[in-house]
Amino acid sequence: MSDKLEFSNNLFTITDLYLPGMVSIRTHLFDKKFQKIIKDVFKINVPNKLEFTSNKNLYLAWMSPNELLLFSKNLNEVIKLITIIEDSLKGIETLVLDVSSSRAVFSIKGSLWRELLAKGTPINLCPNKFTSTSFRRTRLGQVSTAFWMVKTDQIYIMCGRSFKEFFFEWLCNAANEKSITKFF
Amino acid sequence: MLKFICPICEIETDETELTPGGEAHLKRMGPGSSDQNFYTYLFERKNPRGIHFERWLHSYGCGKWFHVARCTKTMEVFGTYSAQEIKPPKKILDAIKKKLPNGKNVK
Repeated sequence: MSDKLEFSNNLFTITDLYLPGMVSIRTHLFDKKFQKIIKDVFKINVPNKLEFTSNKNLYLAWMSPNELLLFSKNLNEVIKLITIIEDSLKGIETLVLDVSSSRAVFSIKGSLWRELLAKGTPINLCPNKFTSTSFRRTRLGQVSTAFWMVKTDQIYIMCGRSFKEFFFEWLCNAANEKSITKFF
Repeated sequence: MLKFICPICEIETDETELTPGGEAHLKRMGPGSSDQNFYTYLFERKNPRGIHFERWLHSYGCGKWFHVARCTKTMEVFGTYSAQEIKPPKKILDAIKKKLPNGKNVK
């Protein structure tokens, strides 16, 4: 694994969430039995389309009609969770996979994060379209990515592990103070 | 730029988030078919100047396929529908018919 990447200027602080934990869960998301188990185990509801739900530092996000992503800043927590998920979902057709090492996650702190992301993504980032519960998979520059709001002035953004350095440089470049607009 | 509504995410996605998949509603010619049929299935694709049914993949988003009905001449999009549909649904055909009262190009 490479070093922890960090960047900051007057507007943004971009930090590498070094070694976060991620679990991909593939199943029938609308299955009532599955939804109940998830709620009992994590105290989180299964998220709606294009949304995420959270419980303290644990996030559960909608990736596609048959995939959820469980995210935690703490890798060890997720490794423990996998056994719990697998045990509690016995008898339900699911695929649970630790994808922690295949993705890199950054935190972008700064109230103008919408301006930064709007430089590279085609999606609508208006505060009433991209809300505090939104989770979007899209592209930023040429990299496929997913991001969601953690606080009003902070987001988590993930990309493929192999793009990590490139993606970080892209973000740092886009975060240039002189180039930030004030659209939103 | 082409903009479609992904029928799965139900949001507007643009061309740069999608991957084109070519002509829709093809009938697959498998091992039992004649050489000529297999050749036609594999290589001879429609590329009309006008109304066209296509497959598109929401590759940067949900990662699922869907169908699009559009006009390659005017770039007008008539609608998108599920990849599981064997033929274009009535709603889409009606939308096309509105534009072309004689229905000449719609199959």
